[in-house]
Amino acid sequence: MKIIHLKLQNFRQFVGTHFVKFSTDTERNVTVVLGDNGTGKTTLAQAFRWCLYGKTEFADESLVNKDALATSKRGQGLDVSVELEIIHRGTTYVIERALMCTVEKQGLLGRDVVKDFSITFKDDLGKSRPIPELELEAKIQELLPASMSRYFLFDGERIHSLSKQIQVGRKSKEFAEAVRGLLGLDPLVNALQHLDGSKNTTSVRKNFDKQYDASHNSRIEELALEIRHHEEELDKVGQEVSEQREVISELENEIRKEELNLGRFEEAARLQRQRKETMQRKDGYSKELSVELKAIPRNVSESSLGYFAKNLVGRAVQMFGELGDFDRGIPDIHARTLDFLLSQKKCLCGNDLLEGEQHFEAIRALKKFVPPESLGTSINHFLKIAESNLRTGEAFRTNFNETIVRIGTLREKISKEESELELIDQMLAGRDDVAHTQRHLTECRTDLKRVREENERTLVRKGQSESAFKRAREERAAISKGNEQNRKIEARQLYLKQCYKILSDVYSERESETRKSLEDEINSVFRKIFQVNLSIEIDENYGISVVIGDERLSERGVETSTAQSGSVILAFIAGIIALARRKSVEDSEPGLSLVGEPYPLIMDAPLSAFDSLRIEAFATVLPSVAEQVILFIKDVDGAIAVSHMKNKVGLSYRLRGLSAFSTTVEVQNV
Amino acid sequence: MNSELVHAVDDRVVERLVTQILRLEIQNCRTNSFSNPEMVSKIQKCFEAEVN
Repeated sequence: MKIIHLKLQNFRQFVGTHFVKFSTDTERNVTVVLGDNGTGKTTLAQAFRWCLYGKTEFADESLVNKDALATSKRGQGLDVSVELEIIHRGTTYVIERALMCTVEKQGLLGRDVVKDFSITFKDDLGKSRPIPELELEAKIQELLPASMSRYFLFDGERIHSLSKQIQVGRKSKEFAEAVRGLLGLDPLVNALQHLDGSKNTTSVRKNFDKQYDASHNSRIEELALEIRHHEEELDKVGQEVSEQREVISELENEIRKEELNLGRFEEAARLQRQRKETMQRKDGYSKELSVELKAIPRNVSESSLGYFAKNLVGRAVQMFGELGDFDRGIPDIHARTLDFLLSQKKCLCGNDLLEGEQHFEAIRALKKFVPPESLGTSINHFLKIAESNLRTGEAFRTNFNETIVRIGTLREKISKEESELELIDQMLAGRDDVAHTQRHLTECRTDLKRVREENERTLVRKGQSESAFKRAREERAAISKGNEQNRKIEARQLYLKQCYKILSDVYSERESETRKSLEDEINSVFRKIFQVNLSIEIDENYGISVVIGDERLSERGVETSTAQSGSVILAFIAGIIALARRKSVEDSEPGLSLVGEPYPLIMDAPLSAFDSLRIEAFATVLPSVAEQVILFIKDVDGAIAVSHMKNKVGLSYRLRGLSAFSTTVEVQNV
Repeated sequence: MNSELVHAVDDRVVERLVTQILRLEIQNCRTNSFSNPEMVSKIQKCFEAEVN
């Protein structure tokens, strides 16, 4: 089936008549409708649903354009309609659903609403012929069964709600129903229900049970009562078991989730310890740095002179060295000491000092080399200090260099610890309270234990009822041998049981095959989208697991992200369409399948949960998934999507909101 | 169930019944014409016709 056009009249915000043609090109098979929020993308998408099935998912059920209503006069007729032209198995159909209302007063509709629904088709001569009214529902079922439509008319919100199901071990009803609907398993399910349905539904077996002739044997009547009683008990117990299993499953999921959380808290506790240690190391390094920094000025004041004056002092020392032995004075002897000796005419050694003699003159000459006259003594004194300073200056240089290296290393270490602290803080951010989780986990475990015990007791009751039920039926079968009517009924019961078993086996086999095929198709699309070794597994309870390589994420306790689970859903839809298309080729002869032809994929805001990379991946895959793709997208997402589907877009429209209740459809160049 | 009766089941009859039931169910899935009680009644008639 392909959709050729959609025509709207006064439908929601589309005042007047609007016509949207869709691309039916095999190459450029995508039609894009872009628009800001509130411009009517969802309205257009819902128009398909209303036209085909007379239903919408709008919170406000009123379909009449409010502008048209506000400007209409009392008593004036107002038509609301949606028309779809489609081509199905080579035949063109026009489906039209309309409401004819009368305006009671300005802005208010009258109570009388005339509804109209029609389907016409073009015969071999191109002449339009109506489908008889009684066949309309069957025709819609043939074109696009309502039960399957949900997999071809898709909206972003449903993608979001479906993605919630794709959590650790969560059973997916959607997947289960899709598998059932996809291969036409509904007739099998219905047959089983009609033959021997549980609960309070009527069934062939129950009807047979009522037909036993008890006129010749009162025990038959007693047994009928017993059997009915056991049946009711079994229904009741079955319901209890099913509810308990549901609760058990929910509690198990809750426990798994909280255990994951707790695991994260353990991780948080480890991080806290790590943070403390890091902080201690950082503080230690900071203290060391502070000591080093404080030591620098002290060292500079004490030892830097020798270093900074090194060149000057060095040159002075060198120069004095070159001058040779300029200091012949006697240490600590002053000129006044020598004058005293000369005046006493007696040397310290006891010799006489007589003027004009050699010793007297020697002492007098010595006066030139002792203070106050002696420069040499001063220079010698300077040289001693200078040499000491030079030695200290050298040590200062070495120490200073080492200090600088130590400061650099400490600063690096501090910076590293700070980075680690930042990382730990980021990892710790947004964690919940451990105690609360632990408390909830304990409650869940207590509840689970209680419900499991209840379930065991219920199962015992169920077993007892089943045995009693079986015994009563066997006794009735034995008694029935003596009565022709009852023998017949017993034989029918036996055939019924056999038929039930065969149909049940066929159902199980087909269900399993279809589930596997669906899984394969989904994974084929999934791999195209992700281009990594990522796949999904659907278990027999329709629990979905995301698998990377050989590792199942759910077992590792990794939550699937919204975008990722959203992608699983999109791959799931794509998989269903691919499977439906494949089946339509395989089912060339009438069989159990209700799928006869490929369907278009109509998606409203499917990309809202995706980042630009996923939009790109999905936009690349989408055109190859369905023969006709109609997308209603927000401007921002649309620009990215369209840029990646450029040579696949056959027609493009932009919705422009003129007011809250009025939108126009503009064709865009592709 | 009674073993004497189990042996009395004719596979051809079972096959015919299964075919009839499925035909009825497939038809009803296409047209959605009959309610559950109506379908039960139709299937019941198949058994009554085949096993008497």
